[in-house]
Amino acid sequence: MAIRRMRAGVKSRSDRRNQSGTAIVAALVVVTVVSVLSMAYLQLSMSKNREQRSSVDAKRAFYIAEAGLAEAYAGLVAGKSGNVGNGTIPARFANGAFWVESVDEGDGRRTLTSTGMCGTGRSALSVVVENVPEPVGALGVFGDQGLFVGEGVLIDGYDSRRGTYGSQHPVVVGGGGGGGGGLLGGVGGLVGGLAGSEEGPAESRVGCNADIVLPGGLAATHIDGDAQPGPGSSVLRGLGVTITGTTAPRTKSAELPVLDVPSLPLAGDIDHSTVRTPLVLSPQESSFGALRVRAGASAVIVGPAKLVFGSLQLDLNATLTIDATNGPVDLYVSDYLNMAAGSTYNSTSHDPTGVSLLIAASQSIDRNRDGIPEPPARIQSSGTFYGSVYAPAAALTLPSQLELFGAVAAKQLTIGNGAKLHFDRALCAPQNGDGALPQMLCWRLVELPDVPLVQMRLDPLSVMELNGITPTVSKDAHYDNGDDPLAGVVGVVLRVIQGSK
Amino acid sequence: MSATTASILARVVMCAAMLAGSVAAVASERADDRSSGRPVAERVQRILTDVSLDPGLAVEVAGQELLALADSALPAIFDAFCVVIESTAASETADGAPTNRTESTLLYVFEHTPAARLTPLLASPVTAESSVRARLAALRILATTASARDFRLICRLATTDPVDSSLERALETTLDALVGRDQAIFSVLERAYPTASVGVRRVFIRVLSRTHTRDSLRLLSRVLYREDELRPLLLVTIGRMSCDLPRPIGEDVLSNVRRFLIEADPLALPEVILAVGYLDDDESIPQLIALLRCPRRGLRANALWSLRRITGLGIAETPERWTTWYQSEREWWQHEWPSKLAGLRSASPDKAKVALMEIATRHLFRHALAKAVVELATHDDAGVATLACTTLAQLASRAAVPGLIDALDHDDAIVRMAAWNALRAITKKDLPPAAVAWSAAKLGS
Repeated sequence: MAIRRMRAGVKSRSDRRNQSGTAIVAALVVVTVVSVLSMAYLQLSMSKNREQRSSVDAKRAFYIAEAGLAEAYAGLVAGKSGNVGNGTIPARFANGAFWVESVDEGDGRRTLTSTGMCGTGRSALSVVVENVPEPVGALGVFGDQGLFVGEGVLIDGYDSRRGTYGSQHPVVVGGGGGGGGGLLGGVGGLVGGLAGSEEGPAESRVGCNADIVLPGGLAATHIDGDAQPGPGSSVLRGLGVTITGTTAPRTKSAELPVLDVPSLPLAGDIDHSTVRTPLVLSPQESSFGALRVRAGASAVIVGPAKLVFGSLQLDLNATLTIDATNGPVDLYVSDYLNMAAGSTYNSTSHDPTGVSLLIAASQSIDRNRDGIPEPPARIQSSGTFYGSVYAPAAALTLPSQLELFGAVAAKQLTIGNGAKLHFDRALCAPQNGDGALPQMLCWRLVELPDVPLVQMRLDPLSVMELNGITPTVSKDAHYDNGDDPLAGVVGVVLRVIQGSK
Repeated sequence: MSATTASILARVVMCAAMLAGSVAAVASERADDRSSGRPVAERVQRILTDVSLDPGLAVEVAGQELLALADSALPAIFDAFCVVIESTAASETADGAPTNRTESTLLYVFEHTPAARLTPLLASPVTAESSVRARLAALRILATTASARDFRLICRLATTDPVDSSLERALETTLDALVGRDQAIFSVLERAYPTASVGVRRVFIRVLSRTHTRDSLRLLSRVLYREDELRPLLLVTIGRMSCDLPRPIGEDVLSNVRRFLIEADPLALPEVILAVGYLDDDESIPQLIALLRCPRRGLRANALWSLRRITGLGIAETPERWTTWYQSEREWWQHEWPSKLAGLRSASPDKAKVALMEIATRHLFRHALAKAVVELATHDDAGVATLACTTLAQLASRAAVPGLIDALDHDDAIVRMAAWNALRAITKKDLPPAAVAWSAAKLGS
């Protein structure tokens, strides 16, 4: 019994000895299992976190892409092309970046594709917007039923918002091409059009709903810009005629809106013949049966003014000056306009957007009873005129002595031999109450573009910072086609980014 | 029946009697004139006064009386016509039709005078130091009487130094009439073209442009290489004329025009670019795509216009996209078209439908595709015919117009509706769904 107990005691001691360390193993197993579980949980947690972050990045990228579309849209409204940043150096927005590509689809439609990036998130959206009707001034030099351009005529363009005509045309007749100005000069045109590129002067716009006839001759005729006839019509040009822009027909006819002559308080007739003292019409809104400035006399109309004349006549050597320095001047002629040869018609302000000569007259009537009916509008004055002339119901001939800065549109327009017309692209900008916003036709998600910054799935701001690039903030990243402010560095940056990839 | 015949006969006899009476009366007066020994000019004037004052005196009768006068009366008659032409110049109709009975009478006389007697008379204003009035009168007469053989005379009459615009207008009227009367004028005109003055050549172009025929288009394209000064006008005319002609335009015309695109003719490149667009010349597409890289914005814009017109695509001014599209289309034509053509011609409607669905997505040589597809627009299987009409609407080729008009008479209402929709889409005209209405409209196919 004792022996058995002894054996048992020995056995239990040896068992205990044998069992020492098993707890460690068990503990180790438990620890390992717990560690593995912890690691797995950590991994799961991190993965979840990454997923969440990725999801948040994707959402942010989406909203940044939306912001890009809004930015481009705002650019269009402001008369820009809709391009913002580019695929190599996007525009910075919040903690991400975007760029927008704007493509002219013709017929006044434009596709904006915005790519937004935030962290690893990427998103690309696209909208199609449609042009709004342009202001009448945007037609440039326009004849509804016909346009005849005489020999030796110069028609070019400038943008009064960018400075004077002289500063944009150091040489009067520039070389061809025009620096690619007028991005939207082709078919259609969008949102008030654009000024030409920064490199060259803005181009003119010449148009018609029928044929444009330029017979040419010994003296060179030069149109620096587009000359677009009506649908199914053509530009018929002779020798010595240069047109730097397109001559393709318009896709649809342009409507000349009927002139709505305002009803203003009647102030009687004025027949001014005093040579020594000029007649001064101070700022006002009035209607006159007639204004006649007799031979040798002069009249000054001071803005802001809105004046309606039944008839407006300038006799030989009479002078009519428009002073729009302090405000715009709108002159309506409802019945008869006659600016006789030898008279002078000019404006003191160099801002064509401030002066309008609006001719509602349409009837040819024999007014002097010589048996020959007088046309409703006749401009034979000389001078330098800044403003727009609009005669939707009358044929108009612009004489060579009158140099026009602005725009002119008439039912039938003839540009006299040797005349000079300088279209101001500032007239393309939507006027108050005249230009609606571009309409959005459709919205869609599109495939991500194949661009290194997009494909890398790294934080775009970090990548750019790593490469020493400071992206422009979105509001300053607008640029027009062919006028990329980042063009010089794009190639270098692209290589840097591709290298870092 | 017999009573009606008798009545008609009685009326005819009465008319003949009246005519005979008139002739007799006039003859008797003429006999009086002869016997009285009045000068010829006076007698001519008297007859003309009679015809203008007496509505009862038929133009033909007075004309016959004038014709009956001796040959020596012709110069007097011509002089009288000069006076009439001058007085009626203001009221002259656009087509040169006579405006009063006197003019009609005189024209009747010239129409019935043998050419051997008339031609020397009409040539007299050229040889002599004659007035514009006489030339105008001669041209007016030639508008009624001339054939292609008189072409040189017509040109000489119209050519003065300095150029007279009224003569150019008269030349235009004369040639307009001649072109409608004598087809031989085309070859004569082509031979005369290089030596004609600029003004006369301009008139030729205008006259030919109004004929709206393939022959005129061919002629204009042939004289292109002989023309420098008026080449832009010629190209514009060719382009505009082609709009009214069935597609496809003949390869001879296309190659004559395309040549100036390939050579990048500096004189008229903007017009050449637009002309190939108007002509729907698919073979010029590579040159047009190349022009999208041209530094001159105007040429790029013209090229884009032509590309869009030829293909019906709205791709922007991106040469890469155009190049990719063109290459894929060429490959399709090289590798896929034979099988698709076989599908179109197959007896199985299913195979035809598969081919049609594939063709609908193509834009290169779309007029040729339309020609191949249009036969199926009247297919017995309504499904095939409907799909063919839809495909033709997608191809937007005017070459399909006649076939689609035929499809308007299809037995199946859905086919008729599809054909009508296709016609409206292609022609942009909103006519009723009746074949008669579409056939009556001048669509230029």
